[in-house]
Amino acid sequence: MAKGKKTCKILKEIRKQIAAENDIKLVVEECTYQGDCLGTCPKCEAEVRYLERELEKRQRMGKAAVFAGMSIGTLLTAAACGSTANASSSDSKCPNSTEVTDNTIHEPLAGNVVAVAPERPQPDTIIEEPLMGIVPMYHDTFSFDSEFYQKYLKEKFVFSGMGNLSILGGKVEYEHIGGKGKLCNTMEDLAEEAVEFKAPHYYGGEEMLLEALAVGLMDVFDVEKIKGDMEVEFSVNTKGEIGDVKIVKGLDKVLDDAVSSAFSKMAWEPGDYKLKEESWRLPLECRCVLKINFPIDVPIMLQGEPPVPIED
Amino acid sequence: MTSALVFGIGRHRLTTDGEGVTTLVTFNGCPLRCKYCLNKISWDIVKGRHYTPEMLYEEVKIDQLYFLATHGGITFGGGEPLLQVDFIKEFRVLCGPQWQILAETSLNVPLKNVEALDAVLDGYIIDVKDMDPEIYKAYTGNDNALVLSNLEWILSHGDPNRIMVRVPHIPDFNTDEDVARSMERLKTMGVVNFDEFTYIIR
Repeated sequence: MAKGKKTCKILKEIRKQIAAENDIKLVVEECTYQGDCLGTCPKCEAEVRYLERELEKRQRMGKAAVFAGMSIGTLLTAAACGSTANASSSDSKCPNSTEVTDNTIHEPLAGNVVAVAPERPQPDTIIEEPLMGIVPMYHDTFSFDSEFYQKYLKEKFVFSGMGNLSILGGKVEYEHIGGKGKLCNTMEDLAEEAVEFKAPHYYGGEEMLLEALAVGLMDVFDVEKIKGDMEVEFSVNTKGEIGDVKIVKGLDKVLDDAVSSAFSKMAWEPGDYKLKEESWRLPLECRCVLKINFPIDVPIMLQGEPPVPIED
Repeated sequence: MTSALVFGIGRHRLTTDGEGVTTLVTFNGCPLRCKYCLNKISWDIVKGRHYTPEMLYEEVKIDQLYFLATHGGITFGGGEPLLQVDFIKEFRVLCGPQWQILAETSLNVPLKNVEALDAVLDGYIIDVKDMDPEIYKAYTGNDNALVLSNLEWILSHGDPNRIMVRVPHIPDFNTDEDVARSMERLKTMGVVNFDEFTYIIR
């Protein structure tokens, strides 16, 4: 089981037990996502926020929150066995106590951390290519005059020029835009040998994205009759939150607004990258463009009657 | 206003550096220059992201429910967290007594730092490298006199169970016999919890 999935499973078990101990009804849906899992996602986080709200409600009613104390070691075992743990608290004050299962090889001190997202300028380039249906185009730009990137990469790559690094799917492109001095190592080396990128994507993939979009278009009258390409541009920040949604190429005012609104409510798995020699990944804020070919290939359940024109 | 440079925040760590669900917060700044350091960015005391204790608390409290349910909390690492005395003390005031706060430390800091934080911390994860001064110096570029005196002070001022001492096998720097000698000496000092492991060289 991948580390992220295992973490997800244990955190889910903790949430279930918190709910059970505090008599909170919590319906935990099985995650069907097959891609890389970071251990949590907006759906998992939403469950935590729900539990917090329910506990607050109970506390306002005079009920104290109950935390019986769960042993991660027991939960790890349960996760490995695929069963529900009957966790109990540990009396030991020892930081690692006896529950470390692998005592032979560990990372050096403070290894394997997720680096804090660097403060960086917003990208300003849009990459376009002919697309069919709904295909995401991801891109991002790095300004290599940024001290941060110089610092991070200087041991292998010395930069003194300025340029934009773009990601389109898994392909990385570099555009030199000036600056003094010269690039001591090529950007191709950097992209192919030093850095691994992962683009942001909708949880569940494009099929689920279409379904989420279809839900958002339920109130658009005659949506199935609208044909053509729409382009929507948006940011996915390092928490997977969608922002700054713009309809670059619209089809219909009502449809454009509905699509914009639907995207604003979505949560995506954020993009990230890592230096290949390092163990941690840097979250990456990305600007994305989607081309959506209408009518989309998902049934849209219309609700209610068509709108009636308002008379003056 | 107290602030510190933080280069990493790792959420949802399970038994890696604490009893329950922990968030590892890594500070810039380290007195050592370990040959196999994975986070050399921590040596830089200029680059990074400035956090006040309030900013950090706002960011990490997202996992409070997990901390409370599992006896987890924050593990400060780095870099060297015991160089951030005021920051950690102020953070403790913000998060309250229920979160477990641990320090992953080399203990190669002035005693006054240890004294100031001892009551704030719930436990220590101490990487002593090797107890032999020459091996220690060859690997870290520094001597280990402060490590030993600080460790003695901690052991004489509280429950030894709040300490986990990491004793690494360091390829090309120490031998299995060196590690065994280090552990014997640590046991004599009163250490009861050990984490013996091998450094992975990347």
